[in-house]
Amino acid sequence: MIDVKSGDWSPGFLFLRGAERLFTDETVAALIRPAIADFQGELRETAVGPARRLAVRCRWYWALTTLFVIAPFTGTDRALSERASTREQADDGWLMLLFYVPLFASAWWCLQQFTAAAFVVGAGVAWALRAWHDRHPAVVVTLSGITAVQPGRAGERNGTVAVGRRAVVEA
Amino acid sequence: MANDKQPSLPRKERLILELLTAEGPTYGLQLVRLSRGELKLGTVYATLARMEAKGYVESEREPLPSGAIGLPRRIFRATGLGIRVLNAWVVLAREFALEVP
Repeated sequence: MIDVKSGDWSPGFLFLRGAERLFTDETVAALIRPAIADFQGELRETAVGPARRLAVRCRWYWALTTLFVIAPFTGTDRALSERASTREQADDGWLMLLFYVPLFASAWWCLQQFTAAAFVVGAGVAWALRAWHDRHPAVVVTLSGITAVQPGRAGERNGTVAVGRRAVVEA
Repeated sequence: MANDKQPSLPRKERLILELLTAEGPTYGLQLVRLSRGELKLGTVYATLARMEAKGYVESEREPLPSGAIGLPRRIFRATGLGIRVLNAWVVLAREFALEVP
């Protein structure tokens, strides 16, 4: 089976190489490689003509950029726990934060008020989001909630649904 | 009392399980196409990875066409647990539907 190695210049190669530096092997294998494989597959099978190929590339580069942003927060539980428990991964986190320094520093000379406002508003929005989520926990369905439901019991609909709802909220 | 070990089924995971059971094993890009805009390219792989960690889906590499270079696609299929959780969701949804006046 043919595979992409670090020296190959196939579509998505730079994303793959960057991901291997930034994320754990588990995250790269679970998130980045399948995405790049589909990117390459779409280019191989459906993209005919330079304009179409450019459109496919742009769409995928945007998708891969999004994936890079969310990857630290949505990896497998094991990968996340490894990231939280190792000094090496914590250093990677600081590296990500450092990306913001030149961004704000370069904007300061012409956008002083805006930059300061961005800090304040960003902190406010983060606090508001956290407060909202604390008061509105995610609603999910659990097998215990489902097994508590007894379908087809005439005359007990209210009681049955109350059981179901309680189980869902508890989850 | 909530239990972290209990299976949960958020909306996008349910949609992916529905697509996988209806259409059969497929890859992430095809799931995005089949979802008609409900799944996004930038997030579907994170959802699939989470579902694989939960045991709802499993994956294997698709062999590349002869002469092709690049990474092999990852083909996802629903597991027995995933199908059971989806079926259980259908039972619960039916119960909630009975409450609609």
